[in-house]
Amino acid sequence: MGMAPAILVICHVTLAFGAVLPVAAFDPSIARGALLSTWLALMGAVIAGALFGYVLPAPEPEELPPGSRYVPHRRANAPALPKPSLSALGLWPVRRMFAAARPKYVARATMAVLLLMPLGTLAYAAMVVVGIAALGGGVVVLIFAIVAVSRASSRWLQPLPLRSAVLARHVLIRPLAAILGAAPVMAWLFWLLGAPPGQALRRAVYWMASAALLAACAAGVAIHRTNDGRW
Amino acid sequence: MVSESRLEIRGLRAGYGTHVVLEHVSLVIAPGEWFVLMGPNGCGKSTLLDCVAGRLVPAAGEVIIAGHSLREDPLNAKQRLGYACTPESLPGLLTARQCLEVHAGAKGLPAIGAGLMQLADQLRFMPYLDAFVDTLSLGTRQKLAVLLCLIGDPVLIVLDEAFNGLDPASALVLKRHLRSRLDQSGASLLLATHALDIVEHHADRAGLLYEGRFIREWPKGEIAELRVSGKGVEASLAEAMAGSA
Repeated sequence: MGMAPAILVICHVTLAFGAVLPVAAFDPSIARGALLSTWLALMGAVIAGALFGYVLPAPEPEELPPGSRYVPHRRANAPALPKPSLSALGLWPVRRMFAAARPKYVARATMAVLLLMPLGTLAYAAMVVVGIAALGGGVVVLIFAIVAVSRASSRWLQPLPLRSAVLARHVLIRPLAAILGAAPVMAWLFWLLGAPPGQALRRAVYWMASAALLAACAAGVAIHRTNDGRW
Repeated sequence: MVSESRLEIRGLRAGYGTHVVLEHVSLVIAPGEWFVLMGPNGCGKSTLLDCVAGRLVPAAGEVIIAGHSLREDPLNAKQRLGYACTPESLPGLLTARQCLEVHAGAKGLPAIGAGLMQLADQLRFMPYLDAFVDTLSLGTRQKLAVLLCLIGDPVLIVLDEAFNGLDPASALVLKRHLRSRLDQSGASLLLATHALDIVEHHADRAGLLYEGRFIREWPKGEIAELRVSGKGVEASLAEAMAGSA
């Protein structure tokens, strides 16, 4: 039951590729090998995402200062009365990412990246590498946050008449947009590191799309399991 | 299925893994009734409330909320349910305003009722509306949990130790609000608590859950008698538990 979302995605993606195959059979300009490898990569990401949802341990309670201290928040001009909306669910994973990225942890991670660079590395290259590590690290933390929030929100809203699919949509839209929105920045950083523009963009889009797919599948499994298989 | 009761529990059996917490639990709560669930720690009060809220799927038995089976028609059943989660399970990284918005959105409401915001004002909650939940005190979080529970005017209100951490003035405001809500709208309240003053002064009926079963019930007349006679519910509760042990 827990694998149902992943199987659904696999079926949809396979159908989409199946629809392209007849065209590829008659058009020699389409490389069938590349098509197959793309399909395999996507399937790998889906399966990894599903497994990720299973193996990620539940967070342990910890005695730390409130995470909201590190979360950017705009307070001005709030309306007098709250208006019904599920949009805050999409902010939750992003805030959790900021809350997890406490100065102490960011400093330690940056130090580790700098220490891994060989002696004689130019400051320019070092800054680009730190930028790539920060962006990649941020995406990884965001994926963990998405899975954790999927579980927590699902549990919190269980007594309410909210379908799991609607919950998943609202939890995922903003963070997935943030992950995909990071692709141009990553491409720019790859280009600064010396990759040709086309290749830099392809790599960045590939990594961010895979990350988004992995996060979506893991979140789907997490919500599905919390709700005992009810969508 | 049409039913006059706000909550009907039939032959409930529930637990965690192989550990059975509730066995053969049945309960009917009528419209406008304030039912207090009492019992020693670990007797299954919260487990029972979790089953009513749809947070735990029972191994056997049925939960019917305002005529809608929680198993067969969960969306309609939950539409009529208001459940106050524990303060610690509120999302720390959302503001109180966002929690209210999400709950109202999940219930598909066009707006949050003015009555609820009036109650928030009476509870002196409004200054905390834009604060992150993880910065709120226990009592303020408790107020938020109760406000979330009352969104959409549910016909069945389920509260678990909802007066814990509340200052006496806010507790009094909440008790009066709940009483008037039950009297005016015909909603019912299921409250799990150890506070016997609530049983003596506010409850219409009380039940004692002991080792996963209901062993004693106090109708309104008997509660009033115990109060007037000076014996109190406490002594009666102790007698019932001693008899069962």
